[in-house]
Amino acid sequence: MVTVQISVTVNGRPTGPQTIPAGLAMIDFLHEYLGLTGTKFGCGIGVCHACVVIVDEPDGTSRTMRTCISGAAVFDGKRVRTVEGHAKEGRLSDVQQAFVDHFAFQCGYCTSGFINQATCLLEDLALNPVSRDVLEERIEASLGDHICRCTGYIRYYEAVRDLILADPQMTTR
Amino acid sequence: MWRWIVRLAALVLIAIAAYGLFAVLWGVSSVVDRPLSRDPATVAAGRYLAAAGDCASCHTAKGGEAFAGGRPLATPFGTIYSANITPDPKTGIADLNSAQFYQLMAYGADSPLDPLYPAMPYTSFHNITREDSDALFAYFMSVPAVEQPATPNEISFPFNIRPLMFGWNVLFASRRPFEENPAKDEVWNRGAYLVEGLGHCGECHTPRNVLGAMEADRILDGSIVGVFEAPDITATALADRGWNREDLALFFEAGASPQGTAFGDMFLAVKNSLRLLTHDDRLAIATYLMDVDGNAPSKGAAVVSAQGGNAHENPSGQALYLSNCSLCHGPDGQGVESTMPRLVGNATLAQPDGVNLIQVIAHGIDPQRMSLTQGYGPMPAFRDRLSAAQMADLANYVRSVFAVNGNDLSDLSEDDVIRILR
Repeated sequence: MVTVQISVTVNGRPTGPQTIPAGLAMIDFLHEYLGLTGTKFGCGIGVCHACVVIVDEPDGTSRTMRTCISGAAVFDGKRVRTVEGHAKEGRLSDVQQAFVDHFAFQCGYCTSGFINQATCLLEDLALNPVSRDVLEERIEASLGDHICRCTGYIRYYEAVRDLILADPQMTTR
Repeated sequence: MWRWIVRLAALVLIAIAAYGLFAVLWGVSSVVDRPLSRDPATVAAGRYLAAAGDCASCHTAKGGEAFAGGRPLATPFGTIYSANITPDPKTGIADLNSAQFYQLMAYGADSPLDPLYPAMPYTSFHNITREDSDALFAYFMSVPAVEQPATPNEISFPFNIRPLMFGWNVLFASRRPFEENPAKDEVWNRGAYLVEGLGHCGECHTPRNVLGAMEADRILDGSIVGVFEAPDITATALADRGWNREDLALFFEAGASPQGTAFGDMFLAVKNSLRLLTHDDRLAIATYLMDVDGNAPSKGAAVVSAQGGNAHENPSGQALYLSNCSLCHGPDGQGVESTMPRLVGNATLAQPDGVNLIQVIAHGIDPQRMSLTQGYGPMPAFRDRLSAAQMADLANYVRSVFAVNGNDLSDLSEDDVIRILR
């Protein structure tokens, strides 16, 4: 079997170096090697986006990546945030709390993906605010690829929109 | 002094008059009118021929009414908008007769003043039989009329002087009617008629010269169209990439075959045209392209992944493949039917210059839905995840282990990747 050695920083904690099969999916690495099972395996073909995690780039920007279609080796040397990393000292993050308050999810399978994507969106808006009249399109462009089969998106959308509008730094008039 | 100016003016006038005479006599050479048929069988035959010619792809705008035109076509000479070919009296083709329709199809002009631009492929359609032209005309005269005025073309000078096209036509536009090749069978000849004519395959797959004309001595040799390459589809090149007649016919039916899936404009050509044809016609097209006997099956041997054999030669490429690609395309390149394209035996990998492979790796492919039950998922873009050197490494690996001609392909370098993506 072809193996590679990787070191990934997950939720601020360095891991590795570990030797893994080159074809090991990142989601299996999170589940089986790190015991982080909050990231969910959905479609397995990169369509539903349930499995996205946040990758923090050295230049200060962040983006999400699908872990079902990307090998763990792709994340070598990167800083990754998973759903387990959002709550601090027993307090949910703003995005997590907003999803609870809006009853945004039901079965919860897609939730970790939504949390990561929405967190990325909010962090980006804090640096690059958008005009309020394009906010709906902006949220759709950011979260539109995420599939949810329970609550029908409206509550996720409203939770994210209300969070953004509550912070005057994220939008312009 | 004045005498010279008068002489010069006279010369210019004579030249214009001569060109005008040439435009009238040659450019719009006369054709006998025949009565418009309303016979349902003729209209149905015309509808089928319209599918074979993929008329809708250009003459129906995105989200627009069928055949009402207005779809922009970008060319190096400017943007051309397709015509309304519904039988609307004001803005459509209601005032045409069957002779003018044939002149437009075969010569690209029914008047000396405003010939068509070859964005309308009369450069291929010239081989259409008069009978087929009349059936097409009968069909278009039967579709719902839509009043939609033409969008003016945005063509730069001097190309916006339309009658100049007659000069271009003399140089580049063949008017040869279709002639059967007696040395070949009926199936092959049917394929030739469709490929060279209504199918207008060469409009993408034949390279063009600086004046935008297909190069007559390089028919179907392959050409870059936009981002992707319309590959060489001459018989030898197809065979080298692992194609055979039966799989090619399957590709035209489903947009997918053991040699991979259609993407880019070819996906649309399959979806909007080829899959609507009869199996016999798809097989005829494949017979002609593969240049085989119309009756003999030509199915090639099954292709088996060479991954075990050659993998050790490129361990870094293999590691890139396993971590970036194998989770969808499979560790052995086997893919998943109707979900993820197979890479073993994939004909795109076998294209020698690697243009399409590198473009696909760099830019990904949007999900492609051929029908409710058949489609392929999205391919992510890797341009901001892999360096040019890594893409070359990865491409060389998949070419060597999955392409049927993997042992004959020369390696792509980092510079090749940079050049392709420039």
